[in-house]
Amino acid sequence: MRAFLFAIGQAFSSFWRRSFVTFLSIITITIALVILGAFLTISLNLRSTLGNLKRQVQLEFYLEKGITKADVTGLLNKLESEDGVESVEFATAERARIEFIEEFGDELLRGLPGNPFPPSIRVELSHATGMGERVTELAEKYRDELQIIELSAPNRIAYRLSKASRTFLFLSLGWGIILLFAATVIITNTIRLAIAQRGNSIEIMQLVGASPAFVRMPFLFEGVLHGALSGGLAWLILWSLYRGSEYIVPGIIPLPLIMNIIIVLLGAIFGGLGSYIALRRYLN
Amino acid sequence: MSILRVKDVRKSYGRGWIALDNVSFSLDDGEFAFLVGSSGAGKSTLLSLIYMGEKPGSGIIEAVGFDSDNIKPEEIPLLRRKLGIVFQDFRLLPEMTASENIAFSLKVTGQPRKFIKSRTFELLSMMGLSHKAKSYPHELSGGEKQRVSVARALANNPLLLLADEPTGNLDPQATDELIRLFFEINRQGTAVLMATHDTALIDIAPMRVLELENGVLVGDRPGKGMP
Repeated sequence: MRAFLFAIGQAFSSFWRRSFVTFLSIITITIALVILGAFLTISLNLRSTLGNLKRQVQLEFYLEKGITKADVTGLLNKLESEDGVESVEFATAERARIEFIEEFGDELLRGLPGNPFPPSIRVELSHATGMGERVTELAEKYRDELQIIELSAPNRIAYRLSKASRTFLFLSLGWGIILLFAATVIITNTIRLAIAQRGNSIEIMQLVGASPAFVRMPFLFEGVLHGALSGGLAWLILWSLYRGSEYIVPGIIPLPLIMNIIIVLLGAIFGGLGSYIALRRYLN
Repeated sequence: MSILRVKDVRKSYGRGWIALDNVSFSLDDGEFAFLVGSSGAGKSTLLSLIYMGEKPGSGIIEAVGFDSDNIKPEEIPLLRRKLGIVFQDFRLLPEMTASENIAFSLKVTGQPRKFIKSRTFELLSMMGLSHKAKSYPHELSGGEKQRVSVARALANNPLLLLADEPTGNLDPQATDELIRLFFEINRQGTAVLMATHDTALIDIAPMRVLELENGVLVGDRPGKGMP
C-alpha cells in the first residue's frame, strides 16, 4: 500500500516537474483520441441515418392492369420466399390513386381519363447490410416476368450510404489502431525521457534495495495517468464538438457514454502499455 | 564466520582490459578492512561486483548469504538491504531533505511509518545532524552530505558496509571525523570494507589492508585491532 501511494505521489510530482513534456504528450494523445472519437461519431451517425432510410426503402413492381388474382398470388408467394425480403404487399390501382390524392390532392388527376395508376406489389427489404446489392438483384430477376410492366428505381442513396457506413467503420477502426499505436510510441518516449531524467534517483533506489516493482510503479502510473487524462480531455472536446455541431447538423447523435468511457480506458491502457515498453527497453 | 568471500574473481571489459584478475580474499563478520590501490586498480569494480551491480567474468562472490553464481535478479534488492553502500559523490536525492534521504531507504524496504520516523531521528542524532534534518543536500557541507549518506547506508542495519572512496571529496577535518565514524560503526558490529587511494588513512589505524594493483591483489596485511 505504501509502495502504491509512493508510486502515485511520484507519478504526480513527475507531472509537474516535467510539465512541458507532459503537456505535449497529453495534447498529442488527446488529439489522437479526439480523431478516433470523431470518426466513431460519424460512423455511428451514418449507421443511424441508414437505419432510418432502410425503413423507407421499398421496391415496387408495377403490374398490368388486367393481371389475374392467381398471377398476383403466385408473384406474392415467389417474392415472399426471396432472401432478404421482409414483407410483400399487393396494392390495387384504386389504393394507389387514393394514396396519391391523400398526398398531392386530386387536381393533377382531373381531366385524366379513368385511373392512371397501375396495381403494384410493394416489397420491404429486411436488413441494411448488402441492401443495395439485393435491391438490384431482385429488380433484375423479376424484370422480365410477364406481368411486370415497370420497376421503381432502387434507392441509390441507401446503397451508397450502406457502403459509406461500412467504409467509415473500417476507416475508424483503422485510424483507431494507427492512432493508438502513435499514442503508445509518444508515451513510450515520454517515459523514456522520465527514466533518463531520473536515472540518478533510480540508481539510488536500486542501491538501497528497492524492489523492481517499487522502482517501476511510478513510471507505470505516469503512463496510465497520461493516457487517462488524455482520454478525459478527449471526452470533453468531443462533447463540446457535439454541442457545436448540433446547430449545423440538427439531430446528430453524440457518442454514447459507454464509448466515451471506453476512450478514457483505451487511453489509460495504451498509456500503461507505453510505459511498460519504455521500462522493458530502458530500465534494467 | 565470513560475511564476504571473494574467490578467483576475474572481470574484464572490452578490448581485453582486465579490471580484476584472480582476486581471492574473505572478510569476517564484524571485520574492518581498507581496500587500497591507485585509481584504476579495480577497487570500484570489486565493490560493484560485491553489491552485484555486475557479475564477475569468472570466479564467485559470496556476500551476506547470497552468491554471484546463483543469485536471481529479484534477489539483488534483498542482498542490498543487508549491505550499506557509501560513495565518494554521496548520491543523495537532491529533491529530498536530509531526513527524507535517510527515511527513503527504509521506505523502499516497506518499514512501518512509525519505525521510519524513530530510526531516522536516531541516525540523525548519531551523525550529529539533528539540526540539519530539514536541509536539502545543496544546503549541506561535503562532510555533512557524506554523514547523511552514511546514515542512509546504516538505516537497515547492514551486515556489511561498503564505502567507495568516501573521503575523496572531503577536507582533512571532515575526513578525520568520517573515519572515526566508520570505526565506531565497526565497533558496533558492522563489517566495513572501505576502498581508498589515500594511503595516509591506513596509517591512522592498524586495520587490515587489502592492496590492489592493476586488478591483482598484491597484498593482504592483517590488522592489529581497533585503535
